[in-house]
Amino acid sequence: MKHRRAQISAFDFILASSVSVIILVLVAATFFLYERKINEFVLYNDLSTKTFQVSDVLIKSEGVPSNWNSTNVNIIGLASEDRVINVDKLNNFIDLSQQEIKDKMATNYDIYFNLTNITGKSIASIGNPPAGIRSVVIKRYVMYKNEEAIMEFGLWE
Amino acid sequence: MKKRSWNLVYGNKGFAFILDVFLAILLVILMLAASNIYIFKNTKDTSSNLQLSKTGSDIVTVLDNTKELDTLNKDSIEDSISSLIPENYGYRFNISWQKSGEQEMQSFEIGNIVPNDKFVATGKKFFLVTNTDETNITDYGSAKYWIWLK
Amino acid sequence: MKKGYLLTLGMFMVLIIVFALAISFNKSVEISKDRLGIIGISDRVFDLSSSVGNGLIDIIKIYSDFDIVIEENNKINVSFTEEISRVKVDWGISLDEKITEFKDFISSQDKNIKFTTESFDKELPLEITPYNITYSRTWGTGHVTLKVVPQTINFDGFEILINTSQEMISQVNVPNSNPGSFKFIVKAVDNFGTNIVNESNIDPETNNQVHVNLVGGNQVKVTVSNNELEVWTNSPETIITTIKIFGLPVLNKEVAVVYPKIVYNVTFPELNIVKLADIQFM
Repeated sequence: MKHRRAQISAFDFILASSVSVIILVLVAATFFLYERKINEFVLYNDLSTKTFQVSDVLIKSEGVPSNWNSTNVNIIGLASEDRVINVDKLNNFIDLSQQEIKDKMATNYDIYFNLTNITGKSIASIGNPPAGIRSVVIKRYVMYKNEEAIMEFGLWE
Repeated sequence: MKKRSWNLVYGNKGFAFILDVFLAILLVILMLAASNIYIFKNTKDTSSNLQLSKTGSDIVTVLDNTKELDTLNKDSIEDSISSLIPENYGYRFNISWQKSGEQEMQSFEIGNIVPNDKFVATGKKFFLVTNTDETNITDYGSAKYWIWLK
Repeated sequence: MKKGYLLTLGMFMVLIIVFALAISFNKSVEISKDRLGIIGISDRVFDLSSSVGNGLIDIIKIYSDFDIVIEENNKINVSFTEEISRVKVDWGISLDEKITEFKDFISSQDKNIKFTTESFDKELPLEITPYNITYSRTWGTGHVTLKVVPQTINFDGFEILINTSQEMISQVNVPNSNPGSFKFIVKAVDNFGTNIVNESNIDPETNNQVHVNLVGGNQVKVTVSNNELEVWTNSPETIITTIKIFGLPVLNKEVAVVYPKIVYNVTFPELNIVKLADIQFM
């Protein structure tokens, strides 16, 4: 009886291809996990940096022009001096729409702003507390009407 | 008895030896482990350090704006700081000052010992103390702070 | 044997790519840590720099009888009010002393801050930014002159208030006036009830003068010529002058009055950071 010739040994083939498939799946999964992690990191980092920088401008700068209102504002700043919130500027800020604020802050993230006194009583707020997949909220200590106050500012999406 | 030889291209030999397979798997595991170390050791959020830094800067500025620093009173300044600073933050403040026309420096410190096993945010601000009607400067002061997560 | 090596090599190359991705992630993390670190350091530098600047401004305001007001509405007005004396030595005696004390204190407390000038120049000048207008004083024998020099006339006019206090005003006359569209307002008051206002529209490039004559023969001469303003007096008594440059256009830049001669550096050489600062009244 003539034996038919095979191209490969069946056992070797099964073993080698199983191992190869397992390793390839592991590597592919790891690759995609890393890619996701990197993307997440880059997005969170951008959000974080932007939140800190915008909060700095809000509480340290008078804005541009310094007597800005809702019709002529270029850069939103709430301060009359370093970390002293000006009443009129705060009122002007509240009068802006969310979209206007986002445009002036050059961001597509949603905004959360909450000014409270030291005991937690709300003075002014804009937007909702973050409810998305990614958010950064920071606390800044300021003066408002000669009293200590806390400004919470956040960006989220 | 003669061992039967399979009539294959390479005879009894397969495409891969078990040793090669083992080597490949070992390499895979080592490389993945090394990669994971790089990826997962850096997951700690560093923005919390920046929040510490901002809080310190804000608090010393608020103390300056409220003229609390001008009192040069340890208890009063300590009360103000503890009413502002979050409970999970540790802190130390050093207030130093020199009277106008004099050389002697005075100072006091408020808060806990600064740890050396974690991130500590630090900074300093200068301030002037005037008399009641602000017509004369009586002292030159500096406020230095250290803030950390407990 | 060969095929076994091929398998191992192939797997290895795929894994190199994964490892490279991990390294690149690590580098991104380091870069972002640095970026956040820079934001934190900039806070420290800002606090140091601004507190030194504010201290110097407070000293100047308290000890120089100098006041600067910037009003911003549809247009910008900048006013300089000061008590001037024709005797240079008498002016701002305590100011130098206090600035020196403050600088010595700063230097003893922080090695990162260095001043590049020694003393406050009584002759200034101050600069109104971003308009390129300078305000200065000069003393000559028996007189003092305040001068405002704009680079270009892009504002509505000058308003000058002369308060001679204890020196009685005898009369106000206008030796020269050439008509134009630039507002020139001079108000003269004293402690004896005098309150004279001279308002005219002039051509600032030509010579225009208003003289405030004092009992006893001394004068305050207010001149607008070659687009510049001069307030000259030989009065031995202290005179309070307010010079207002009004109707400046609103620009998309912060308005400040800068004293550029006291400059200080905040440096952190280990971090390669140098911040140059001067005194800004805002």
